[in-house]
Amino acid sequence: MVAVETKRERFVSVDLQKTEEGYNVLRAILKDNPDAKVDEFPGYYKVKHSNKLTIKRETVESFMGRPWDTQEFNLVIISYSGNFAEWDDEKIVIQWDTHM
Amino acid sequence: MAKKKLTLAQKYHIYTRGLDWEPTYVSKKDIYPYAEYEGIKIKDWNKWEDPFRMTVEAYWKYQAEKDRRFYAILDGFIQNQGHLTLSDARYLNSIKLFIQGVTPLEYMAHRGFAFVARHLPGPGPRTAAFFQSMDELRHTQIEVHAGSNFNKYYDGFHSMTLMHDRVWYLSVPKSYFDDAVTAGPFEYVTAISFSFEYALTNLLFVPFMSGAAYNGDTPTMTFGFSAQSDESRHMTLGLQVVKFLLEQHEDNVPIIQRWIDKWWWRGYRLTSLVGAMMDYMLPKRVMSWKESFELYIEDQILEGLFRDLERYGIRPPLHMEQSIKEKEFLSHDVYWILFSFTFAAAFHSWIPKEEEMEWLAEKYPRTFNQYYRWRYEKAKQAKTPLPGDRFYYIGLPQLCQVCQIPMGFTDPDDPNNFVQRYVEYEGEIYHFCSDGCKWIFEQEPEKYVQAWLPVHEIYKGNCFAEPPKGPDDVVPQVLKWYNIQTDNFDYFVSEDYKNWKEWHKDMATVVV
Repeated sequence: MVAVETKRERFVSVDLQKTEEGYNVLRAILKDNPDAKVDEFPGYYKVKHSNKLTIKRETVESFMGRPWDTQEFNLVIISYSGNFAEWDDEKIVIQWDTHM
Repeated sequence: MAKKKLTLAQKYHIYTRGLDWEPTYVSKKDIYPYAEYEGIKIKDWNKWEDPFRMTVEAYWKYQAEKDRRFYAILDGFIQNQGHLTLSDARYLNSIKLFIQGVTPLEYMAHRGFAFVARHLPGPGPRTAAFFQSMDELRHTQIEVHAGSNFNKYYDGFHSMTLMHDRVWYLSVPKSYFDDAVTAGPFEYVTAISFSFEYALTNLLFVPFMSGAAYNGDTPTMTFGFSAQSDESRHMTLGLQVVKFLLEQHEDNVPIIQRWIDKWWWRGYRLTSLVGAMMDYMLPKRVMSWKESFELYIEDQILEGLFRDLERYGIRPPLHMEQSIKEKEFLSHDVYWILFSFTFAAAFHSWIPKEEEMEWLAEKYPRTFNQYYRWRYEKAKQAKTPLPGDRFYYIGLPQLCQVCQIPMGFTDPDDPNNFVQRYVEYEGEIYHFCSDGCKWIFEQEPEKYVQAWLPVHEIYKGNCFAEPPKGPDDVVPQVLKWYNIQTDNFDYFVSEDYKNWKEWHKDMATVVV
């Protein structure tokens, strides 16, 4: 019998493409979610937070230097863990334990 | 005065819900004939929420942009002779498995979601399924286009659809998806949108694609991430479907739980092929199967998703504990199976190099040196009359009746034994690789007794190009029927290896 080792962690996360746009979105996330942590892998970033991640249009625009529609998030997201609790013109919120 | 711009929520509502209507001269039952027979009860389809709020207009706009980016990268790669800068041609064997095994599933998913988009009575999920159906067709196309460039130079890319229907290891993905599309619409979305998309595709499309990037394959990384960005929408559909069904009626809870139990194990067994690809077929590795499993399944799915579902009365899948126990064995068992039967496969395999075995031992300190390394040491010595200076298993394996993988899974509780389970049903004996597959069979034996098992079909005489002239002609006639040409045997006796050496002899050589 081989012992099973498990380490468990609960977080919400979003996996972003390692591109110029992805990097700007990442910077905006880190600014608006100071406790978020980033893991880097070839080709992508994984941003994690123990509770909630918010992506704000205004902050992303300040890093992009141009208007940014929240639906453009579709172009940089690879995957996520959690629920999309909100997605409107101003912000996107990812968290667990939301009710429909 | 200028008209005020509609908000995202308003636009979505108008374009989706606003285009639906109540039928007056045809009954809803006649329009949606599959909506009730699975036992699912829906009180109010309007309670459905759509977090992505994707409209047709936005869909075309962003999907077109994703495609433009993909084709720009593919063109650049082709113009630059990018295939010559891959880490090693061995890498491409994982992509052959992908093109033969996964790409045809994208096409099946396109068909499956077209069915769901027609037959779910709610306009919200119908719209989401319609987008997903188109996404899956796009995935098929970009994967075929990426693969067609490699097809100019390497074995194993030339006959994906025929192979998918015929070749033994490809019956694993094929039978998985056939199982899903022959279920009702609610089981299908639970199977594919929830269990597969939300829980399992991350393993294939995130760490494996990161591995593609690391090995210099930018087109594969790009189609992988491009597809997975659609998958974020698909994951949301899966999660919303399950939560919606659970909230609509308490009678739905045991039905959904049974589907989650079934489809976790079906999908997990299918994904074991990805484990072998990650741990053995990538010359440069990003993370091990075990590490990916811990991050994407144990943390994100068990600790995240299933804790979120507890309040609906949903528990983690029935055989999840077994998957966790197997995480140090799975990729080794599956690669050994692929390695042993490479004489009949449309990819090459090889004995891991010493430094690769060291990596495996470091990542799997409790299993690799103890249970697997010796097999490769012996494989170097055990010669067969076949090409390649190493061992092949000369014969055909027994297959699991449900997942169709050869019965070679180590029992984590007794690692010197393989798991063997069986059930007697109407006078016949059926064999299983695991308790999970046995349990699935027992839920619907009348479905799984119909399985098209490649080994049985060979013995029945259904898989020959021409009738074999004698015992030595059996395998060649099967390979011909599979359209396997120079695609099989060990990598180090392959055309791929010969060409790769030739092309790199002098880097100034122009390859056309």
